[in-house]
Amino acid sequence: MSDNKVLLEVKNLKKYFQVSGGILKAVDDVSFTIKKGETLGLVGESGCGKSTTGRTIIGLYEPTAGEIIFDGKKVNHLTYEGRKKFARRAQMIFQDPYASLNPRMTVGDIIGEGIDIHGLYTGKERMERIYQLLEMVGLNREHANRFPHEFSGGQRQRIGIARAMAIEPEFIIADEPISALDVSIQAQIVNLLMNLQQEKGLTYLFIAHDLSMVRHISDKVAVMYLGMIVEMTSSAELYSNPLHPYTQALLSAVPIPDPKVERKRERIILEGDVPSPINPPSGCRFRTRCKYAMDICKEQTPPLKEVGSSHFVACHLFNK
Amino acid sequence: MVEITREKFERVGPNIEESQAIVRPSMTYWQDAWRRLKMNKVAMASLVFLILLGIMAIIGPYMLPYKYSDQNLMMTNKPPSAEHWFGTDYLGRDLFVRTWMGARISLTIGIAAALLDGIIGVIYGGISGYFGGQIDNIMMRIVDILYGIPYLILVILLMLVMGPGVVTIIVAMVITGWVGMARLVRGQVLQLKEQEFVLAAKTLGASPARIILKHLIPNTLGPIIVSITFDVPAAIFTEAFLSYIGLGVQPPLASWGTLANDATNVLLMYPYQLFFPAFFISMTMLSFNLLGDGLRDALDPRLRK
Repeated sequence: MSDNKVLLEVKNLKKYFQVSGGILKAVDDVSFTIKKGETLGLVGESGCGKSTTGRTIIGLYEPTAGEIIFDGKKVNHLTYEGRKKFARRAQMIFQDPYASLNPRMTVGDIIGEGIDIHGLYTGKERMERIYQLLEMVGLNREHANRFPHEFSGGQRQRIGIARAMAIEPEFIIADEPISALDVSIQAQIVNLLMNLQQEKGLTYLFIAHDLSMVRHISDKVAVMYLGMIVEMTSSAELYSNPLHPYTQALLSAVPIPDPKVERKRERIILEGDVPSPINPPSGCRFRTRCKYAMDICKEQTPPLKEVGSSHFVACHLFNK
Repeated sequence: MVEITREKFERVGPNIEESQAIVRPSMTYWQDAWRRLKMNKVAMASLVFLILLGIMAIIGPYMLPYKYSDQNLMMTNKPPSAEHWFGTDYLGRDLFVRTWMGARISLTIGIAAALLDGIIGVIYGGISGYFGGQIDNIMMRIVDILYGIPYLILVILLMLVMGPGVVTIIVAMVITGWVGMARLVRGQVLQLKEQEFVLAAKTLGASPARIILKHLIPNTLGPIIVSITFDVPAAIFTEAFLSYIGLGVQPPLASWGTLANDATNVLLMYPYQLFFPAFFISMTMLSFNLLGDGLRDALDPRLRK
């Protein structure tokens, strides 16, 4: 699937927000690469900066520091024209299918918006393209004249996918596209996304908090905690050999569909809450909840280091 | 007992085409709002009254063979009769013609002031809300300052500078009136611009103008219309009040406020003279308010049934 060409490279990305009470470090020094045709899953609990990372990459937020390199070109701090060009190649699918469609526009106009902005087709060709997109995501052409409130959550998410696909991007950021949907619909949407990837050779950044779904769709998985990546490796390796204590705790929470195994399964229960990102703990951010915490964890932030073949982990336990 | 055999059953299986079909008839937002407004009897009665009022304001002055300024000193202070349907005033002017002339002036002032408020408020509030940050801060402090000026003082000053008249009243009301609309629109835009559909439009590369015109304004139109409907009676009342204290339109022009003012002078002898302007002022304000209430219910998608 991958021809080993790096499509997206994120270098030391930081995004801080000025809030009352200090600076909220939503994303703090995140680096990763995604190769063409690959899917990188980005997981972590709510508030850990996954969505902010996605939105900063696509240009909805200006990064505080760091670089975003897409296909060899820097794409942060773009002019309006530059943004528009980048928009043709990278698109986003949003989390909430109820909020992501303008309630005053017909589905046809919603899907056609990208076509209009970039002037790809007009008149009859435009309608044909919209019909084609609707059918591609499993809806009928009659739906073009309907309004978003007439659709179910799953159908709306399909419309959101069609809108992103309308301008034929190469790279799609899916920001928790399934977390607002019923479990039965989740599988449909994930399968649709995977089929589209195969057909069009898309590259995905798949943001989610559902580990089993991420495992299903991703080639590589990065685990985030409080604005930092704590572990990153291929999805097979991550699930069979999680190294970071946080990853271990996360994976232990995934139920296994086998009662015999499930009975013996031991959950690692993390103590306490996620510390506030406005005033994160010094050194390793996970140390307040980590049962292996050592003295060094207080003083130094562990770097993300390669400990096995392309298995990266940020923990002093493996930092010898 | 009836025997149930396997043969009686036929496997239907899921039909993808059918499962994606939508049964509900397709309705635009405005069709749906109109449908809900029609169910509200009070609002519809108000709407009918206001339409009739509008028609009468246009044709009323031509229904009797008098001009609004025609004086007839032989026929002063006559009670309603076949010749003068609402009677005459202290100068013998026909009150029916003058009431509908007054309706023209009052409705013109009310609607013009509310619309101008709306237009200025939407543009100002839209820009302030969309760009946010420092721009928003500065623009909203200007609004706060304007909000603090007592409008009566402003009206008196404007009268001195521009001379009394319809235009002066409209200008005075718009200068102080648009800030409410600006605040409303800014609040709505601030809320909407973080919505995912606006982010999606940005991601697609949409320009700020496109986002404001296609995404933000259409979604605030409901509250804007409701607010304008409430602004019209407020403006009519302000005009009547200003005219009543002698700051409004000047004779021989008539507005409902000046008619009421004239009538109070002779209230003890001819109380019916006050009835017509007072009745139309109250009914118009009531109708606009009830219609505004109905529109708010009809335009709010959260109340959809």
